[in-house]
Amino acid sequence: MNRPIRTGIAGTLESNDCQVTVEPSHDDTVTIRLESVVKARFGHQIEKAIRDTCDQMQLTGATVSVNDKGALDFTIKARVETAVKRSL
Amino acid sequence: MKYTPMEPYQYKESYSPKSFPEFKSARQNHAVQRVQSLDELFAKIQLQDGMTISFHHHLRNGDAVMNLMLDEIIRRGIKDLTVAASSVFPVHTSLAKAIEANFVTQVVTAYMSGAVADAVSEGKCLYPCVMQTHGGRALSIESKKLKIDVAFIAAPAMDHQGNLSGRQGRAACGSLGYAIADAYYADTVVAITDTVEPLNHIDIPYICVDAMLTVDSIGDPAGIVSGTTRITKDPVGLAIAKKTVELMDAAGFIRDGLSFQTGAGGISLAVAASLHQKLKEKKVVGSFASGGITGTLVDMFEQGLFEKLYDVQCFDLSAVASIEKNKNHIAISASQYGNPYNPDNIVDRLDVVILGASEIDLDFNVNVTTGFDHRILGGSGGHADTAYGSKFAIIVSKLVSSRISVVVDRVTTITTPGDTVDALVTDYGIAIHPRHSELLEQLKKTTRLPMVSMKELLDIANQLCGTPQLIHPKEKVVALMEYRDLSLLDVIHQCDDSL
Amino acid sequence: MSIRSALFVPGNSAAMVLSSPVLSADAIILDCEDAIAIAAKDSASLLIKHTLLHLPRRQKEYWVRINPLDSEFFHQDLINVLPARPDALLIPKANGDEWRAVVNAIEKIEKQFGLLPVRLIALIESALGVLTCEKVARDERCHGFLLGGEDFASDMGIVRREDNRELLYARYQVCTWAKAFKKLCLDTPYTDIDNLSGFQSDCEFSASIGFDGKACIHPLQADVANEVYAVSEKQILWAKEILDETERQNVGVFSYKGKMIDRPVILRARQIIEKAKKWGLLR
Repeated sequence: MNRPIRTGIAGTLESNDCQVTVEPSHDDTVTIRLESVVKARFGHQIEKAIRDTCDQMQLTGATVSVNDKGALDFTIKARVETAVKRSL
Repeated sequence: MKYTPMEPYQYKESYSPKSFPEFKSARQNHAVQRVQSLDELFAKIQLQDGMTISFHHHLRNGDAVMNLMLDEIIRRGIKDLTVAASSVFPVHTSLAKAIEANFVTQVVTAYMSGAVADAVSEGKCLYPCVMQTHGGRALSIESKKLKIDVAFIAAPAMDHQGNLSGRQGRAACGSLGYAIADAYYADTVVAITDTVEPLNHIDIPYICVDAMLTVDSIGDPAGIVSGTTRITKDPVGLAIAKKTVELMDAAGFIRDGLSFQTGAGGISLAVAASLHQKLKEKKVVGSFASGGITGTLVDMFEQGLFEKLYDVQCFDLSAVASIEKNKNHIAISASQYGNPYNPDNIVDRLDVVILGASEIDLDFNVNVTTGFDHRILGGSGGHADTAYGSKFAIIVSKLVSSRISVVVDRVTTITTPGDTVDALVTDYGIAIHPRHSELLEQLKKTTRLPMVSMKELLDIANQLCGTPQLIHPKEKVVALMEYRDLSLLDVIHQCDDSL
Repeated sequence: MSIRSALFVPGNSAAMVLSSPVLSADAIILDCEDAIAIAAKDSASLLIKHTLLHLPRRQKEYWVRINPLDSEFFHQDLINVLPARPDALLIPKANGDEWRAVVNAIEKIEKQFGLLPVRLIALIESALGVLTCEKVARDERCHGFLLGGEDFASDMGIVRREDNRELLYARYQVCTWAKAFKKLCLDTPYTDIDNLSGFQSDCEFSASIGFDGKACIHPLQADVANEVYAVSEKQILWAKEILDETERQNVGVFSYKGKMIDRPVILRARQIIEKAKKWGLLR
C-alpha cells in the first residue's frame, strides 16, 4: 500500500481542470472531499473516477480533496495520480 | 389580479397584422410637470399598493434609476407592486430587497440575472414572474393586456419641454427602443434625467411624459457596455464562426440584400467578423443588420457592407456614437423590432439570425433562460422573436464547456421552440432541423461541411462527459415562460438550492 | 501517413488538450518538453497519458514530444506515455550520433510492456542534427523528420530572419534525406502567429521544395497549412481519370491523352486519391 508522507497538490482552478490535494491522515482509509461546479449532475461519476484512481495506486491513509471546475474524467484521473505521486 | 399568460403555446405560420394606436399622440395642450424632489414626485403620481410600474434597461448594468425608485417605494411602504422591466441586471439589488419583503410581488421581464434572478428562482417572489420576449413585451403593453400604471423612464437627456433623448448626456445609451411602448401606453410617465439641454434628436416626445425629475446621476456609463460584447479569441469559437458563415453561404444567403442579426455572445460576434470578410470577398452588400447593435456591426455598416442598421438597443459606445451621426443607423421601438402583430416588424424581414444557447435538445428547442439546475440565468430578450421571424435561425455553441453539454435530451426550460430553430453549429459538427431534409442532402453533396444529427452530437457529449443525472426542481412554480404571442410556452419551478 | 499540419499543444493544459480533437490539424503534438515548466513535467506527462487513454481521437493523430535523452524526465515520459499508445513520439534534439541510444531505450520499454513499435519522428534542431540526419533517415525506426528552426538558429549562433533564408541549407538537407528514404518530412514552425499571410508564403515555399506539411504553434495556422499542403482539386480530377482509365485498360502500360501511363504514374494517382480521401476532399 502507498501512504502519503507529505501534502501533494496538482492541477489548476481554470475551467475544464481541477485541483487535487492529497494529505496524510491518521487512519487506514481514503477520505474523498469533492467540490465541483457540476456536482449535482456528475458528482457520483467524479467521485468514482477519484476512487478508482486511488485504488489503482493502492493509496491508504489519505485525505483527497478535489476542487473541480468542470474537468472530464481523464483530467481528474491525471490530476489525482499526479497529486498522489507528489505526496509519497 | 396579477399578469399571466393563459393560452397554451401552439406554433402559428403567421400573425395577421393589427394596429396599435399611439393614443397619446392626440393629447392637446399637454404640459410636462417638473418636480423638484422624490417627495413631490410621489405626491403627484399617487402610486398605490398593487399597481404596476415599469422600467427599461438601456443603461444595462449601469442603471441607477430602478434602485432609486425602489428604495423610495420601500421607504414609503408601498406594497404588492408588479415590476414590468424590459430586463433586470445584477446592479438591481433594491428590486431583490423589495421582492423579499413583498413590496414587489411579481416581476414581468424579458431577461433577469443576478440577485433578482436568484430571489425569484428560490421562490421568494409571492406570485409567479412572467418571462417575456422583447417583442412580446411590446405586444402585451400595446394590447393593454399588461397595464402599466407608472412608467419610470431613465432619460440620458431631456429638453425643457420634456422631450427625451438617449443620444446625449453623460450616460448616453443611444436608442431608447425598449421604453417606447411604456412611454405611449403607461397611464403616468415619469422621466428621470441628469442632463437638461436642447436636443439634436427626440427619441420620446414630451406628449408622452407627465412628470420630469432631475437627479445627480441616472447611472454609470461604464456599466452600459456589457461584459458579453467581446469577440472570442478562442480558436474553437473562431472555427465555429467560420463554419457558420460557410453554412450561410452554402444555403444561399450570402447575396445582395442579405438581412442579418447576431447576438452579443463571443461566438456570435465572431460570426459577424467572419461574415465581414465573406461579404468583402464576394463583393456583396446586405440590406440591413438589426437588433442590439455592436461596434462590429457598425464597422460593417460604415464600410458599406450593410445599407442600414435597425437599432433597438446600442450594446456598446461605438454603436452610441454611430446612431448619433449616421442617418441610416435607425432607432426602432421594441414593437417595430419584434411585436408579431406589428405589420412592419423587423424580425419578419430577417434572413439569418445567429443566436446562443445554454441548452438545445433533440427537437431543437432552445433554453437561454435557466441553468440545468432550474436557476434563472437570463431570458429570451429577442431570442424567440428573431428565431421566429428569420428565414434561418442558427444556434452557435461549443458542444461541451466545463463538462456541460449544450446538446441535451430535453431542455430544462423552453425559451425558443424548436419549430422556429433551423440549425446548430458546434465544434463537433453542424445539425440541421429535420424539416430541412432537402437542404441537408444538398449540403452533404456539394460541401465539405461536417453534417451530423442532433442525436450524434448528444452521443459524443455523453461519451465525453458521461450521462448527467437529472435534477429535479421543487414543486412551486416561480415563473411562466410567455411566448411572443403572449401564449404560455413553459413554466419554471423553484430550484433546489440544497444542491 | 500523410500529415499537412502538426499542432503543438501544451501537455499540461486541460482546456487546450480537451479542445484538441476539434482543431483542424492532422496531428496534435502533446508537448512534455519546451512548453512545460520543470516543476510541471510529471503533471504534463500524466495528463498526456490519461488523454491518450480516454479522449476520443476523431481520426486525428496524437503525437507526444517527450523530453530529450539527456534529461532526467526522458525515462519517466516513456513509462507514462508509451503504454497509452500515442500515434508517434517526437524525439527532440535528434542527431545521428545519439539516435540508436534513444531507440534502444524506447525498445527496452516497448519490450517491457509488450508494445508494438511506436513510430518515431526525429526533431532535427541542431547543427549536428542537420549534418547527421542521413544516419537517422537510414534507420528503420525513424518514421520522419520535423525541422526545428528556432533551436537550430540558436545552435548556429544566428538570428532568425523574416524570410527564413538562414534555414535554406537545413531545409534542403533534411527534406532531401527524408525523401531519399520515403520518410515524412515536416517543416519548422513559423513563430509570428499574428501574420497568417507570412505563414502562408512560408508554407508555399516549403511545399515547393518537398516538405509534406508544417509544424504549427497556433490552431489558425493549421487551417492555412491544410490548404497549402493538400492535393488540389485539379490533381484529384487527374488522379480519378487515370485510375478509371487504368481499370478500363487493364494493362500495365497504356497511353492516355497523349501521355504514357505506367506504374509510377498510377502509384502517384493512387497516393493522391488516398490523401484526398483521408483529408475529406472527395465529394
